[in-house]
Amino acid sequence: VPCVFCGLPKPTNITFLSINMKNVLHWNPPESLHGVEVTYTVQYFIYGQKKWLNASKCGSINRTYCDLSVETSDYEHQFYAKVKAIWEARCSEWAETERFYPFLETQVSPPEVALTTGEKSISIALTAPEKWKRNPQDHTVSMQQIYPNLKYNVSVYNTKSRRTWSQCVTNSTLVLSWLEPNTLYCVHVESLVPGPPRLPMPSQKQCISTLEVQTSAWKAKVIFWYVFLTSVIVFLFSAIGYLVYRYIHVGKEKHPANLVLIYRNEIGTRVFEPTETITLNFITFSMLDDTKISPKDMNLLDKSSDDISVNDPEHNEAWEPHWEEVEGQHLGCSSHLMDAVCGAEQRDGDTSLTQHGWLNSTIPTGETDTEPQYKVLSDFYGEGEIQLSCEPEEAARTEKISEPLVTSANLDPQLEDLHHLGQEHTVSEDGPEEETSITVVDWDPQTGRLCIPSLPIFGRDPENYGHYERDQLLEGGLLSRLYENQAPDKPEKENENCLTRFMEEWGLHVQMES
Amino acid sequence: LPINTRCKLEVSNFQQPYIVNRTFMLAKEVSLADNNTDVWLIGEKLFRGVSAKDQCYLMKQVLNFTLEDVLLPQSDRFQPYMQEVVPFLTKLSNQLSSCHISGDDQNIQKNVRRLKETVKKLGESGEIKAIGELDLLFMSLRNACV
Repeated sequence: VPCVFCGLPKPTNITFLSINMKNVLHWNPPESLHGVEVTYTVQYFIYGQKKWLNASKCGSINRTYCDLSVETSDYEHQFYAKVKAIWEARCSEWAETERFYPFLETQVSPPEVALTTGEKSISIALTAPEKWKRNPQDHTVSMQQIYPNLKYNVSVYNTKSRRTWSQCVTNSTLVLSWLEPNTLYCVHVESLVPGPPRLPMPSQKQCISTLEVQTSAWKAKVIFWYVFLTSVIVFLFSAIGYLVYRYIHVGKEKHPANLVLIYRNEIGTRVFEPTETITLNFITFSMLDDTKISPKDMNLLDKSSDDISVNDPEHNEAWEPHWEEVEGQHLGCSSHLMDAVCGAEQRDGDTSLTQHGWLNSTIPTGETDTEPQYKVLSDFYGEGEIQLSCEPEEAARTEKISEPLVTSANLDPQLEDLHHLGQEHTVSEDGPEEETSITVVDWDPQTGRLCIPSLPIFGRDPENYGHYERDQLLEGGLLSRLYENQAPDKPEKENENCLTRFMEEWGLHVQMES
Repeated sequence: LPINTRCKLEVSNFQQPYIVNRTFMLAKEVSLADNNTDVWLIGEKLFRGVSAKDQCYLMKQVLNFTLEDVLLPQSDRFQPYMQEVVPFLTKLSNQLSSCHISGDDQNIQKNVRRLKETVKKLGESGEIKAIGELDLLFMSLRNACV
């Protein structure tokens, strides 16, 4: 219907509102025509085309908006739209929009948000919004397909701590972990599309609470740790107790190796005695005796055992002198025997020479000096013996001095005969005669005096007296020792053996006179 | 390497919020002054007969023409957007300097020539139109070269 332009004001604030490619044109009525019945006509223009086109469902309408989603569905094109007001037969000028580019200007709605909760976590599932559809049965197109770089800004608010934090994600699922248990969290999400900034369209807040801590699990943990720690402590104390027990008892039960435990039925006490063979045998013997002896005699046995123990040292002492005596006796006899054996071996064929030497030593004293005679005697007997024999007989010197006179006045016929024999020996110098010569001496064992026939000749000189005494002492020592060996306590056989050997060796003839 | 691999731009060039916003605001403002709504420079006709793999080379030609014959003569106008958008587009052009094609570029040259002739025919209005379509240039570069 043609109309006449006569100054009618045009509509105002004409703009496109686009969400997920659903593009709706909005405008306001003319300023001076509020309350008046006014109709509107809408046309659109595709940039690059030649003509404006009428909107199919927006001719002579009363509402102040028009859905141009179908006309502007090619979102890669740019569009214009215009509206004019009509009142009765008059109409206004056209009111145009700016160039509209849906691809860069449409708003993308927030995704669908699905929350699931755990004890300390929340899982957020995001589903991309869908593009506008003309008909419900049309094929569904996701905005993710139009914008491959679509992102989401997820904001989380903790109602307890009143803190909010955001996270930009591209995945469809987000898991928030390490949250506080039994706490309310609120979540809202925005879609982010690359390009010029668009008006924000946040999702509605969805709130969910994390679960409470499961008491059963907590109790299980507590019980486990309680039992575990208790077991460990019990084990440690057991180990310590065992070590202490072992240290105390094992150490005490050890006994020294050198002691043996012995029981006595009488006393009933324990006695430790050294484990020596002799003692053990003795005790064993005593035990056997105990079994045989009657109860009356037990006391006697104890006393006898005590006596034995008391007498033991004495018994030992008694043995020692006996051995000493035996050894002494044996040594004395053996000394003589050795001397005899040595003499026999060395001078078997010169026995006569030995005797001759002895006789010569005595006879030449009248002719030669006294000193050589002393040397010979010392060699024969030994220096030690001389000293021993001198001291005990000092008191008897006076008696010796007086006796020679008595002896010379009281000469027996036998002695005179012997004296003559001696003189003959001194005169003759033939060998056979020397072998048959005999010297007779008189010896008193008690006083130790030895009388030699040649001595009366030298009795007058004082030097001779000293010589005489020394000779007697020397001779007495040997004879006295021989006489001591003939003790009456000893058996006769031993005495006979020693005496006979002495007589044989020295060619002596002994006459015992009581 | 194939020559076409040099016809690539980093996606990060198109994800800088500030400069992207300034580019679109410049186009929006200038498009208000474009009265020749029946002329569409960067549209379906520009890509007619050009394979997908060669579209980046095509956009390189359009970008270089826009910088040299459109933006430089108008550099004093539409401030402060102009002084920020020109260096940004220059950087993109430098990144495509080694972009070439090995095949026949007859259709490409024909389409680019037609665009140039349209702008020159319209004179200053043509330059205004070209600046008003910087948002289409931006999105076409992104779709073709990323």
